[in-house]
Amino acid sequence: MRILLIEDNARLRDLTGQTLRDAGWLVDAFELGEDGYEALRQVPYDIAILDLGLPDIDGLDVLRRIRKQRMQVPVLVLTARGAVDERIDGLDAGADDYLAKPFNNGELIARIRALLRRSPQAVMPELVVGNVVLPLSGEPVRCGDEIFDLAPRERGLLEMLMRQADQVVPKRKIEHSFSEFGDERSANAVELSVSRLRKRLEAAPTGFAIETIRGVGYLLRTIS
Amino acid sequence: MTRPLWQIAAIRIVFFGLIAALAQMALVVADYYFNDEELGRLLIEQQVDQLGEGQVTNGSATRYALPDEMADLFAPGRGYFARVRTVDGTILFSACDAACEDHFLSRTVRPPDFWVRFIQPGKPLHVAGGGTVERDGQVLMVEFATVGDSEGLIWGVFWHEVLDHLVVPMSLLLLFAVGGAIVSIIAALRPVEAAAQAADNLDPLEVGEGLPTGTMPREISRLTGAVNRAFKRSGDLIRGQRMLTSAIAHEVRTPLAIIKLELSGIDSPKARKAEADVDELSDFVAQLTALARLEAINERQFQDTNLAQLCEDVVSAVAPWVLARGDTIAFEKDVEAMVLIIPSLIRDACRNLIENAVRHSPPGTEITVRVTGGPIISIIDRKRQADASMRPSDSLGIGLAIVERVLTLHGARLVQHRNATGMVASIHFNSEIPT
Repeated sequence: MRILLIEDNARLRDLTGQTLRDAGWLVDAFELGEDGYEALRQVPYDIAILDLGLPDIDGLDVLRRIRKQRMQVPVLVLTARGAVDERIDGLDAGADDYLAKPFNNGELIARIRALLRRSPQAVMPELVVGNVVLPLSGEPVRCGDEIFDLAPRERGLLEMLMRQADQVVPKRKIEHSFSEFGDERSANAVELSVSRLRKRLEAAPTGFAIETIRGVGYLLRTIS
Repeated sequence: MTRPLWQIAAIRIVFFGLIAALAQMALVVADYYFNDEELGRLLIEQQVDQLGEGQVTNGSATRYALPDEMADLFAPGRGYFARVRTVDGTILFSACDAACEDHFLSRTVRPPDFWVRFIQPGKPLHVAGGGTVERDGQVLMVEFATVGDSEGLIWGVFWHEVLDHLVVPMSLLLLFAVGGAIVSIIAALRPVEAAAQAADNLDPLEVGEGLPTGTMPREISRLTGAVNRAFKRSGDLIRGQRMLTSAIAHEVRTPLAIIKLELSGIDSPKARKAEADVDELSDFVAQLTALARLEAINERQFQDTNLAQLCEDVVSAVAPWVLARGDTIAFEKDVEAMVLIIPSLIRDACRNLIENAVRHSPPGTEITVRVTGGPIISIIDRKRQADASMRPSDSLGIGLAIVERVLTLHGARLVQHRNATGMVASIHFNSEIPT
């Protein structure tokens, strides 16, 4: 995986770049927005991390240019501007996620992984969260040496939760996806499937927990 | 209570008009009262006219019947006398004894069209007189005399004069003055009304040409110009404040990010403690900038919003953090309430209250966000066991200041109360649009 980092503060650029390299990714770091944008036009990055307060051009303008050129690269905005309205501006301009400074390296890496899992352009043979590997080819789910041959509905549910790990997945979204299976009793079916999935995985050291957020949905929470 | 300007002007014009009328009336009465000759003449004129109304003409024949309202006036001893005759001397009516004949002209005399003779000067009036009255080609000679005016007929004269020369012309004047003033004021204030509506939508950050002053009266145009300048100054102030908060945010948050990343590389409990301190400091910076940003709010940012959906989104967003702190969170809704709010601000307020509930509760606390009729958003924390070390706080510090400022902007209020298992913080909205 190759990541583009555009951050004007040299110290923060070095530290963030080092954090990403330690996680096993290749990183090209730039101080200026124009330089970063040129690099993005020439290299097919898997993800771009963009600071908004750049010295030569506003980060939001870089983001708009990226989307205007129909580049599909997932963009994680990394900035000192943290107000909700400003986050909305960033997301409206085409950001895929938003991380306000200061952040810790664990949160940064988790966000990047989540973006990669959701990215349609990322060529990923499998989803990995915690110790669980879910091959997208349809092979059984693995956790260490243990193999889990899940029913299609439980596997679909697990994939949905893993793609949005550490975020709440609304129950109605899961119900909607279940109705595609032709299930009339989708509300009960979701609860039944979650219960079955928990039971199947409970003995395994998955590194995550499937939490119920009553009245909202479910959260696959990674446990560090 | 505020009244429209046209109403205030109309009331004042009528008020001062009435004062002027009263003053005028006093002058008229005084003028007549001290002019006995004029008063006597008018009394005779009035009574001759009134007596003349009793004339009935049928072809060439003329008859006379005393008008009803005068029937008792000429009773013996009251001091009033009258005589009505034709040109050829035929008496049609007479309320005159032999003594009173002295007051009237001799029957053989053809009287002039009008005559007055004072029997005795001063008041009460002692006056006699007469005049000719012509109806349907028939001429009558009417004579009237009073000795002492025991019935106070002069007041009828005063009233007649006031009505004729004061009430009728002044009423017309007042009517046109009030009508003209109302029309002028409404026409002059029409651009002010338009400017008031425009002011509601004026964004201090994008004043442009400001409020239109073109067709306004000069005095109001000056005020509007001053308001426009004040708006521009506010805009400059807000821009400056935003620039300052943005600069603070940038200048403080970036070093904080560097410190956090540096600390994360240090494997020591002291580093973890320092990381927690950095987190608190960055929260404080975020709150400060949020508080400063609230001053730039305007009417256009209010939107009809589904409160239940908004709360569900907030719960969804904070759930990972709440669970990471060892608590649980749930969402319940009794109603789908639509309210006019600034969604981002109410979202921040709810988030602040949830974070406060989590920070001041022991691990294992159940947080419930509930939307009920009113509409009301309640953030309820239910502790699993009493924990003396985690004393619930009544204050959110700067967080509370933000929540209260946000709620004030929405015409809403915060109610907090403690029960046996924890705290309940409720946001009560008015269904009305905030103004």
